[in-house]
Amino acid sequence: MKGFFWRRRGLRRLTALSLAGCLCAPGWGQNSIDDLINASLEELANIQVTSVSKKEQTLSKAGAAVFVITQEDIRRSGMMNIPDLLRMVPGVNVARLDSNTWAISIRGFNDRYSNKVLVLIDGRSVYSENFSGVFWDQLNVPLEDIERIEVIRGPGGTVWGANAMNGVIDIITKSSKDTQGGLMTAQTGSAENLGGLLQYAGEIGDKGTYRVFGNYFNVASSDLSAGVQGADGWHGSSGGFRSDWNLSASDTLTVQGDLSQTAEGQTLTSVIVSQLPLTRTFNELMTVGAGDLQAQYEHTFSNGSELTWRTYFDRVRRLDEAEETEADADTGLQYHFRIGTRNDLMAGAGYRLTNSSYVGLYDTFFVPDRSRDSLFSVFLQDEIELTHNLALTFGSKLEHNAFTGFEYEPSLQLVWTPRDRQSVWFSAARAIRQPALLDENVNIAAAVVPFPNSAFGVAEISGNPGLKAETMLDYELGYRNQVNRRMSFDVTTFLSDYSDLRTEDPGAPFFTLDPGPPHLVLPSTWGNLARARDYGGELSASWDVTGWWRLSSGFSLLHMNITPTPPSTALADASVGASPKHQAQLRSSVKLSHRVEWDTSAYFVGALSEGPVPAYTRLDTRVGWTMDRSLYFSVSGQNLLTPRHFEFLNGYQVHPTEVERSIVGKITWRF
Amino acid sequence: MAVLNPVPEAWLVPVLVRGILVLLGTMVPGAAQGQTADEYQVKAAYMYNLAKFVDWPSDAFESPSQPIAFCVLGQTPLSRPLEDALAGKVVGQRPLVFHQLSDSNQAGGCRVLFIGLADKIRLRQTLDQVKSLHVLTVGEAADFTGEGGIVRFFLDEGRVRLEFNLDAADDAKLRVSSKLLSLGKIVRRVGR
Repeated sequence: MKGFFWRRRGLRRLTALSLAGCLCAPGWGQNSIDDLINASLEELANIQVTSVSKKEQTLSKAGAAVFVITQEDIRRSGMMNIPDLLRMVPGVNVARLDSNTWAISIRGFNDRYSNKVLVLIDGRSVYSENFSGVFWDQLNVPLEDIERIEVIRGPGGTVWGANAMNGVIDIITKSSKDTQGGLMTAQTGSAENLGGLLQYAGEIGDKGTYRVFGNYFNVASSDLSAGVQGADGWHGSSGGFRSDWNLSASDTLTVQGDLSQTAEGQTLTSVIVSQLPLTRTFNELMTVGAGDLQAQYEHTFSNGSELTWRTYFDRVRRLDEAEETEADADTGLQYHFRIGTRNDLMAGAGYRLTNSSYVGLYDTFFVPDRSRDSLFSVFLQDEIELTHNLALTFGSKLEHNAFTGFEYEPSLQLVWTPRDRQSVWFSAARAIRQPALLDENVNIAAAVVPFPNSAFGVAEISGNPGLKAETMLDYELGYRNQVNRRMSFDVTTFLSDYSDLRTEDPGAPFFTLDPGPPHLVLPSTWGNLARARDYGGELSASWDVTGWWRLSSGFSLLHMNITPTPPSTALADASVGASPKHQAQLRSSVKLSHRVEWDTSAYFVGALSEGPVPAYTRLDTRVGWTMDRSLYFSVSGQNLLTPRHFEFLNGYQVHPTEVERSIVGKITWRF
Repeated sequence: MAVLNPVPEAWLVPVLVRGILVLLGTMVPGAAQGQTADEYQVKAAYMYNLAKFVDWPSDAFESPSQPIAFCVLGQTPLSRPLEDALAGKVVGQRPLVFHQLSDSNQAGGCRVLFIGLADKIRLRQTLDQVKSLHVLTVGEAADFTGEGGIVRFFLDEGRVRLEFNLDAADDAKLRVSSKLLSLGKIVRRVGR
């Protein structure tokens, strides 16, 4: 639900134009338009084209910091999972904790449980309402089926609602119409990983198409430290379908569903509340099962206005020492229409029911351990064409959630397009992070503190039913320029004021007999006792050096300033030192011939004082080779600069493992 | 343990030979390279061909030498290559002229109109406006022909292809030559 409002409106425009193009070898020179004019129709139909400016073109009018990862970017990156793909987006910090756990955030506040970025797959939220945050191991979408990933840095609450605070990541899969035929991939490599996909897409009558797929992967364990192997290996399989129907010229229907199951290892240290003062370090296997079913129906009225209805159900079960489940049923209507010639409006309403439970065993418990919550939302946004080159968009979402009641998330965007392919934009918005079940119900035995004479204390964190939503007021100024057909850049600066950030506030120690032997409890509770003022900027640029060589680069700067109010001393979930101040990316895509492509990427991530984790540069290179229309090979080397390095150390109970240098080969067969 | 079957080698040989040829191809600059060009230059060249392979009814023009007006609505990457492509060109007795439009109300005199819009509402409004005016509408939005546009550009494996809505061409009283049609995909759907 969150998701599809804005996606349909703002990014709809991207849809038509963001088909992946290719960077191809020169054949026709720059001034060859006359050669083309004189070419026969058959020749024209056989020319490979380069699509340079599409992304920039369609992005040029968005009043937000948008970055689009296209299918071509995905293929040419050689990355094997969605978290790694996000490394190419300036302003996004991706840190691998172990091979199945990531800390990912946009514009700071990174943490294993970072909670300020909303993630959607085809408009379906995969943000956990239990824990606040995203479990990245649940995102098992076949990368070949992704049409694009749209990443919006900055708030998107007006259209997406709560938790779209520091950004939104929307993973959009291809229509089954665009994946007709069969597809098989197989990959194998050194450290990671073994995997394969088998897929077939066909037609149903003359109005419908379908796709079914199944995939499997297996990733080996990596090291806890040199020579000490961890237990973070994992494997999983998933299957799914998507069916797209043109019911009539004005009605379309899409139905899709997935099932996935993974088994993941981890090494943890946990307090065992039933055997206090025992704290154990052990390897554990977790299984994660997830399923979803979604339908989207769209009707276009004769006056051109559009009505979209979307409904989905999804359920996730994560089973380790604890059993956590979350099931959502979500439905929403959205209406896009115009008033006069200057007003383009979008209105919507939605409802979501979440059933969740968490039954703990060792150190984390929810009291009560299950809940059923409703979320209601309405939304209105108007884009007004003030003059031929100045557009104003404003609107707000109004939500009612089970934790904090009514919340509103207004925004305003002004986009000035003084010339073709050049724009200046300003935005101001309010966004919130809604408390999750964890914030109200949790009870965590975080650590055992030994005292003399075998006495001990237990540091406990407990939920707070009175917790307020975290709020953010954000101001951004951006400039985009497509300098010429070969060069473009995009600069964004932001200033974000946060208030009521979640803190861990110490309370008065007390003695207890239950559970376990008599001991001192050092309690703390969640509170809203911190403010923050962050500022920074991101730059991304792309340059087609020649017809066959493209360079893309990104740079981001972040300054965080968190101010806790006593008695609180720190945020509950993220510290300033857990997010890098600087990050930079440079990607080179070379078309060696029309059959061979060679890509190299370097990703620099600044040092983290939390850990500490030294700055590192990840270097990947890849050669892809088209044998013929149906067969494609690639070989990628990843993390080439160092044999092993850590990216993030604070995993709460989970022990971090090292990212290792690896090489992977892959074959793709279309039939 | 089954006896090793020699048959797989039969298909392996051409694959290997091909592989070696491709590798050689990559080492010799220029060899084995397909023809490539900028997408919008190719589209501009297609646009020019439209003038040659589409017949307008006689009442679409006032005289046999009246120019064929090619218009582009909105900011699109096609404008510049199309302007270059048409400069100085004549089809029959008719010069080809280029017009950049900012408003669909100006589209009445266009014989070919490229609509870069992806916004469905505006697309519909524009297509409605020019429906009975003998205008060959060309676009690239995914639902362009479904909405009543006549010719849609789309990309297929990195090549520019055409899709035609013949019902919409009939409505505009335009005749598209079979030579052009043979290269494209035909849909028969009038919007709505």
